[in-house]
Amino acid sequence: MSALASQVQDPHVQLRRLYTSLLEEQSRFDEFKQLLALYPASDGDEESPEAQAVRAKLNARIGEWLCGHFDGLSAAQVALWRSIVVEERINVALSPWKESNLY
Amino acid sequence: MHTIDALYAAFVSALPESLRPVAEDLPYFLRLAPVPRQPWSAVFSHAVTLEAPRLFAPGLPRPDPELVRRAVLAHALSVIEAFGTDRVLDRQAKTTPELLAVLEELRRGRDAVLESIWPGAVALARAADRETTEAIKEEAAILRRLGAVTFEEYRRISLAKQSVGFPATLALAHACGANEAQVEGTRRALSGVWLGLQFEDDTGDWEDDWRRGGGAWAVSLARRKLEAVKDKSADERPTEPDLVRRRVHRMRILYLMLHGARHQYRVGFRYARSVGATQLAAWADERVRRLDAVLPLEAQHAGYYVRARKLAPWAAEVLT
Repeated sequence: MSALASQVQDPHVQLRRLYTSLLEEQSRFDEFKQLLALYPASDGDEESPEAQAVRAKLNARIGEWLCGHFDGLSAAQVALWRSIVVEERINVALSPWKESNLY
Repeated sequence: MHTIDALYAAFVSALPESLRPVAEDLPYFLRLAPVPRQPWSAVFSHAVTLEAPRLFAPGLPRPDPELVRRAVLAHALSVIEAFGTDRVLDRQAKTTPELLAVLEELRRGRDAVLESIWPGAVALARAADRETTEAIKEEAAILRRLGAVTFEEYRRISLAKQSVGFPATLALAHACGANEAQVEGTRRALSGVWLGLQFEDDTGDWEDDWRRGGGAWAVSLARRKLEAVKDKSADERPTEPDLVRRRVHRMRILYLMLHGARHQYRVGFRYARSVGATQLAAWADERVRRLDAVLPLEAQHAGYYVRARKLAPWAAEVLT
């Protein structure tokens, strides 16, 4: 396997490319948030067909943004991402002078 | 325990018992912290916000540790009180008699400490209170009616809003033998720091401010710029969020606000260095460098900075 192919398959590299893609394009950012918001909040049971459909759409859209180089998100990943991005449950910025540090 | 938390804890312990629950959990009550029991040291990521006088102490002619400690306490009480008043005025915090009483105690505590640092400091602080309150009201009135503002007006009102961030440090400088040039250098260093933080914050939060319905600086600045370019009369308030965002992006307002923040940090750096506040100078210089990295991205992908702020918690979770 070439170094490039190996890099493309690296999940961390894929996530970083997704992150950059979201930062660079408002419409992608909006769609990303909208799809995460559509994903039903987890109640600990099996993923419902409705949730599966939303996740499939999210994976397909991310695949398009990254030109196909995306392995897809698991149900647990989408649930976690939803809680962070939509519900702002984890590591929420704290104050007006919060000085977020990630660019 | 962190110094600032120890100082604040001592302040709280001297309050009437009925006020202590609110005072102890003030970051949470003011919605500066998402969960209860957060100390002030966890709310702000750098000492400059609550401990500014300490950062200037190394450059003063005769720094007295006890005066520095008092100045830090007075400054912290001032800033916390200002955040509280701001949150009450724009209804982001639930106003209760206990909260209002705690804010009054913060003012009282601050004045008592300032009095012991330098004669005239209390008058300075009360004038700063008035200036800050007036500026907050002026800001609210302008933004609510979607008034068009120039960057100069924005700068003037922003600086007035920060007035409470000066008296304790200036009092310390006077009390520790600073000459007029050093006092002025201290004032300018603080101006740069406060304005840089304010401009950056107004940039990152403009969509949330707008959504809350009270207007946003980015929108008012965009309106002014649009009118200046096209010489057209003010239009009706756009209600569709994307339309407002597109306008702000098209006019490069966020880039210009961040550019303004960079300039202010640069001013802060120069004057902090000139008065021997080396730790503060290094911090301001680092802010300049970070904005140097972000500005080209914001220029190329309008809204980049806002999206980065919104994705920061997610990125911290999945990319590190």
